[in-house]
Amino acid sequence: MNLKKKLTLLLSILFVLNTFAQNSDKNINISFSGIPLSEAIKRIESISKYTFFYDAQKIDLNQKVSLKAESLSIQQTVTQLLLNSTIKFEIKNLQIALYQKAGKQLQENVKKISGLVTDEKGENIIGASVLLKGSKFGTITDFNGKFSIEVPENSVITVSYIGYKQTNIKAGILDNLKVVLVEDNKSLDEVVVIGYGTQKRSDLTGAVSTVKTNDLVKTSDASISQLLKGKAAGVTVLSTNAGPGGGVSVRVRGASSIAAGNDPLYVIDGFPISNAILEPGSPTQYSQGDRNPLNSLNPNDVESIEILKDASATSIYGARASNGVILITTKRGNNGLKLNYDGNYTTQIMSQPFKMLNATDYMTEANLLLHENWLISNKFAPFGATDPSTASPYTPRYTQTQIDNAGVGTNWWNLITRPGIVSNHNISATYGNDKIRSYASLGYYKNDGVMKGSSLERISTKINLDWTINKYITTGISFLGSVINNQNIQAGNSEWGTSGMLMSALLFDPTVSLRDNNGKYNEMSMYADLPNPVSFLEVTDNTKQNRSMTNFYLTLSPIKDLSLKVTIGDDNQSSVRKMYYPKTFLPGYMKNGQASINQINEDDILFDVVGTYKFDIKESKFTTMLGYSYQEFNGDGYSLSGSDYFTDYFQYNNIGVGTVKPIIGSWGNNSVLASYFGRINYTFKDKYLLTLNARYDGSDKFGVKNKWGLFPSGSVGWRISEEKCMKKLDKISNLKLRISYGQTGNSNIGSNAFSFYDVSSRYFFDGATVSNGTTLTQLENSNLKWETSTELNIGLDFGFLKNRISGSVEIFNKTTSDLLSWRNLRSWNVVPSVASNLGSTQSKGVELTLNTVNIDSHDFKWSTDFTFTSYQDRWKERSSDAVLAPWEKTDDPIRAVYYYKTAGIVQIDQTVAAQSNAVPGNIIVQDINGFDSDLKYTGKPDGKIDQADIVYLGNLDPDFTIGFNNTFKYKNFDLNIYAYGSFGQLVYNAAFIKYVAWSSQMVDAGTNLRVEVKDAWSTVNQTGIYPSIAVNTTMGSDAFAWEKASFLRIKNLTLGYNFPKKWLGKNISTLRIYADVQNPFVFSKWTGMDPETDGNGKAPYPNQKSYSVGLNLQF
Amino acid sequence: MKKTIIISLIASIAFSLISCEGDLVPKVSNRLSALDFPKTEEDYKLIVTGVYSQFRYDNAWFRYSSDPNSRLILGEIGTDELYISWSWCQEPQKNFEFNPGYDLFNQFYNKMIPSVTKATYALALLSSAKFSDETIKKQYIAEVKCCRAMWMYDLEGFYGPPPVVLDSASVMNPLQTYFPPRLSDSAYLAFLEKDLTSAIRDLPIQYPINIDYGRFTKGAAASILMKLYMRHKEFAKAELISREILSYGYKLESDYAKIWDINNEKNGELIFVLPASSEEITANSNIYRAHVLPGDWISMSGSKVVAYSGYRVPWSVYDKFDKTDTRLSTLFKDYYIMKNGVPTLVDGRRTGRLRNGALPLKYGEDRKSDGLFTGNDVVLIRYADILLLRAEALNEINGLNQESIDLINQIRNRAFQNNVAKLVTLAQFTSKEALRDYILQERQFELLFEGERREDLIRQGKYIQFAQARGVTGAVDYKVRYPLPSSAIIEGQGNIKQNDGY
Repeated sequence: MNLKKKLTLLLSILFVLNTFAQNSDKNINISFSGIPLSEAIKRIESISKYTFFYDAQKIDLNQKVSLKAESLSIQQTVTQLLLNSTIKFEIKNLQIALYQKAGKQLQENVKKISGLVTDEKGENIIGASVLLKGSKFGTITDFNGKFSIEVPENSVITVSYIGYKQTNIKAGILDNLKVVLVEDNKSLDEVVVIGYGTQKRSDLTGAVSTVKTNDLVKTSDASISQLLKGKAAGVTVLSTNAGPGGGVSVRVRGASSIAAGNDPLYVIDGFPISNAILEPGSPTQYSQGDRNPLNSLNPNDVESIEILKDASATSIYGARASNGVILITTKRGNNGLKLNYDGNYTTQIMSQPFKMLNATDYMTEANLLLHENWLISNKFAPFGATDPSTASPYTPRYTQTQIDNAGVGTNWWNLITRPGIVSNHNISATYGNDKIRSYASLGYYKNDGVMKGSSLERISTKINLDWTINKYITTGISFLGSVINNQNIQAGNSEWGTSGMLMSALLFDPTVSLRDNNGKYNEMSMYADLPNPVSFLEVTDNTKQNRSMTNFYLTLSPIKDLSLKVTIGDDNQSSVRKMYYPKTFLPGYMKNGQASINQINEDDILFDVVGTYKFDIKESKFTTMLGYSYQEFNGDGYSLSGSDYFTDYFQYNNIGVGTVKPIIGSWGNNSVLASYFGRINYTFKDKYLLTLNARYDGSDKFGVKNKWGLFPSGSVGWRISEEKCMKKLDKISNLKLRISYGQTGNSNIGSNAFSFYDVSSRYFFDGATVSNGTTLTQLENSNLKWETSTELNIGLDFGFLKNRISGSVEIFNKTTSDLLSWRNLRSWNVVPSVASNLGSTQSKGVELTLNTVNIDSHDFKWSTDFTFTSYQDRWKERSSDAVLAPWEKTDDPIRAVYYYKTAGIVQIDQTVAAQSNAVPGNIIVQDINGFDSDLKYTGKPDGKIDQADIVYLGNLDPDFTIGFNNTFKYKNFDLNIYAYGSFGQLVYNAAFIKYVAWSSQMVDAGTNLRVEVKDAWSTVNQTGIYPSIAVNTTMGSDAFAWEKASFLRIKNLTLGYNFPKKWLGKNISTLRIYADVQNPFVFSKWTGMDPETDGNGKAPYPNQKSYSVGLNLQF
Repeated sequence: MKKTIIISLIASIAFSLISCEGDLVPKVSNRLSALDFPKTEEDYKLIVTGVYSQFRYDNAWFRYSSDPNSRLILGEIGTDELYISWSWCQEPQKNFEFNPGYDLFNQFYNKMIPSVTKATYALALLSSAKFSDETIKKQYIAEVKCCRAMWMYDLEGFYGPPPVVLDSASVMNPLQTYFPPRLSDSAYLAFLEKDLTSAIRDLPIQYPINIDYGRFTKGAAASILMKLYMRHKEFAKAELISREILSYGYKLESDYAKIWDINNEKNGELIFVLPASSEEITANSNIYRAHVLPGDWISMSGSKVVAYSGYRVPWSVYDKFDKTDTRLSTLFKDYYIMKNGVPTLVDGRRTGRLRNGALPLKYGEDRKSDGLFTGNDVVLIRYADILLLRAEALNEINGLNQESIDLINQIRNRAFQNNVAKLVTLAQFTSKEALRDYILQERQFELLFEGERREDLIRQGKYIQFAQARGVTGAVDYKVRYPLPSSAIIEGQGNIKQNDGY
């Protein structure tokens, strides 16, 4: 607490002192006498917000001036200042232009020039500075982008604006000069959003990636995270569910945490949001698939995304930052009025569905497999030497006539799928003047997924308002509101009778028709538990998610370079799932109708105070920041569920009517995080850079002995290209070396520090009376604390050939220690483990960003962006009491896969020493090693397959991921080809095992099989590559399902056309049409549907190819 | 100017005073903090219920249930009366492939070993608790001891004396690493003997109010002790304790099939049951039927059907039954299927659907059930078992004797509905061994698929012998015990020894 008090004191002194050194609008108080004009200008600038413009060649800056101003207005002040000089002046907004009082000669040569400044799209640029080249004399453009200036004849004027390349114009034309500024994305003067502030990119010493959303193709994806795939080095983004709004895993620099989660901290407009997933469960076995927590944010409202990667950049977020920080900045108002419409329409087609047998093939294969089974179970040749005449003969399940008449049967998959549709409409307006700037948008997004019954519909609005009350006070509000309606499908990995819709469609017998004569859904006679795939469409199941996020801020700027910003925010989310299983759906029939309503609420409150002060001492520039933050997280929820309804009519709208006792539940929790933080940025001669950060975080989730933690970091930068010797080298436009070191934390440790009894068990004495039971479920650890990551980052930013080739390379080494894990108290203990900070992991990685402008001619431009990310997460130190399995090594990758290895298929007359029961067609599992009685390796095969044969197979993490983006522009056409890929990760092909390898189960149950089963080994197909129907109980016989799932996917192919300005008339500033194909190609050896989203699913949501057309219109 | 100064001053002062966070004391709203729990008698009652709930805990699987990992099926594996349709568990059953890595043998161990510890922990808490009525406290302690004894009895049956945490000093000190010893057979018996004897003393024969039905009683405690004596061949002690059980007033239910009938719960034959409810899904329901019913079974009463098509009793056992034995009414060969829209009775043995055996269906339908979760109380100990064990004990002590015959006839009299022709006489038997074999067979007819067969065969030294006779090459002597899970051996770091042979 000492440190906290000191910080507070320091802060208050800083601000109290500064209050006395200020000035205000109307009252200028300043006195001096006999100083040079240049010095006088500096002094006035320093106490006011006014800036002087003048032509240094025309104005004598050394002339001595005096001033005695006591509560004078600026007009009066400057008048008095220039009283005895030959200089006249003009005050416009906050600028004071100084002119030489015109002599006769000069006046003749001065010409008035006027013009319009626009960007490439023809939009007016407001506030661009128009200067006489080499002077400080000039003006800025007005609200219409227009300017007029008096300059000597034939002089050159320079037009510049932040974020655009500076342009020089020879003032030949006097009127209606047209100046087009070209956007300069790689500008070193680009302002980058960092934690609690902004910084020029040239001053950055931390590792920060910026993604401008202008470059992203916003067609069919619901959330911003899907758009980030491959866009930023160091960020690995992969989809986990291909359904509407499906889940995405976002990892910044790997995943070093074992049990405290690896999701980055998201900060939306300064509000660090909680990662709580608002997904109310269901009381059934069906899963709706995971969803993206950022679905509530419309990607069209996002201006830019900054990804803070190293400790220097992240430690300002302290105990929550060790998984990286993603800052999302939404669009805000600008001067002038602008209306924008962006809309597109997309059709989605499944890219590669599983191919199942049709009715004829199914019958043929079933007969074949059953015949094989008959040979095997009776031990007839080649499976044994039994005399065939001793057993009852084989009778096929289907007769030849049945097969001949079967046709293709019912294609269940087709009955539950459809082309998907995405429609996406966004309207936004910005309006502003020098007092108020506002942005308002309305977005509508709807995706009807390729599986019938799955959809996401979002209505979102964003309002950002900034109000400059006077030069000392600015205030504003950011509001995000969104409503999402999700229609859920009944999915999941549950099997057999509890199969979801997708699995049921894959399993269902193709010889069965949809409905019987009474209109009832047909069942499979051999497997009556399996709900008819189409009957799932009778279910009503939706999740409605609401979010309103409001941020209010007030900035006080008592003097020019000091600001004090207070932010109060509230992020209120709720999610309610309502579900009804009607009696027409088998599980609904079982319960005689089943209804449920589950709700989760999360309400987070934020209070921030941040003070920033900038000052220069000679060639040293300082920016200091100090702040305090308090955040509260409040979650609660309830669930209701009832069954046995006399009618399906009520659905979930009258739950109490059910005659079976309803099941109800509720929960609640809250936690608090308080923080003190500060930062110093120091630059010397604009070449040598230093940044120091620290955050002091306190949380009620930590054990009583560890309530507060300090997270410091420091970094240095050296702009090598600014050195004199380097400046001569024409080809090097930028070279900067950065080194950072620091600590961050991961406080996502739940309420694991305390001892609890859970009332989680019940008992029914008497068979009817509920008695609550309780058991000790958690032990206290008063020392429990956050995980700490200590990270070293070395980065090199480079730019060659006037930045036509630019980028950066980063290497990092991150050690995460005090891992949240469970100290193993042995399984026989009353509680088998206690949460503890044990062990450490290490992540090392390399990242490369390379941006090149390959061709830059007048009509044709080609630029390429390439990102490369590679990391490896390993165990560094295991907990001292960790008991490793014999096949584990202490420094293995965190997500290592250990399993058996297979070695092909047993052929006829082949004996396998370790599998005495093996029959031809079985998979051979490699006998690699043996155990002695103490489970120590004997070092040689022991003639049996047991856990001694388990080996390290690989890693669930990719070796590396890449992003590759190419943009071509030809006249008004633009073409974008964007690919990303992930290489080296292992994935278990569960669907293959289920529908191909376990054919015996399927045939027994009468369920369908994938067409690949035709390539299974059998006595009539001895070259078959897949295991036969013969049951193989050898452990590890499914090991061949572990596959490398490397892939390269073309994510977008986008062709756009901008209508020429001259066609559009006066009111329309931009009209662009575009067509986009998403996921046209995937290059992969994966044998399932999709290497990215198949995961461990036995029936994953199928990925799609999407075809979009869109229109962008601006007024 | 002044205004700005004031605003800045206020902001600065506010800044220096803010400290919204307070002392960061954690708040948890839906769990009980160990700082102030347990305190009241009601709290301890919850602790006791928490121990009972270990029989089922958070779901209806793995423990005292009906899945392949359950107490029931582990009590049948390796015997002649079990066939499992799921290949992963049929293989060990068929070939005596008892692998320490198999889930099949791990689940019950991994679930019930910690349950024993939890009971020990509850006993430690109870021992220092203050109760206004000492008899209540004694009863609670006795109940917890019985839970623990039952689990220990079953664990020993499967794995031999397992490493269990029994002393309160270690259990209350969970942060210290402690490797529980594997007691010798006799020390294990002695420990349970002491616990159960005191429990029998402190428990009632019956609870005065219905609401306590399902708690341990004198009879249940004595039955566990008797079965334990039988396993350890302490026949004299077994005989002695069985006399007590006979005095508690149990009686055979007149209609065999009604023992498990949902409308005949709490009948006089039941000694210990796990009460089940069809209202509370998952944890406290009986999921037996779904594990047996074939996929094409239809219910003629309109009850809902979930069919996993799992367990069968091989026809070789079915064929041993006398066709007039009413006990056959719980072993199904014929059942209704839907044929062209018409419910039709078929002989499953002929259709091939039941090619591997008959359907053991003692638990009847529950009309209120959703097909999977039924409300039939799970029967763990019943009087007929005790009677036959007593007959066996008397034969072991005295050789051929009339009382054993009378006990067997009590059972057969019901089975054949008072048909005297089906009763046995002392003269029928030529030796003690002959009567022993007869009792073993009678126990199979009576207790078929109740999880007793493996124990019976092992007690009589016939478990391996019978399997070898069926041609099971994997059946070797050491397999009278299942292996401890490899994970337990790894965790034990050399302090926990695997069973011989594995």
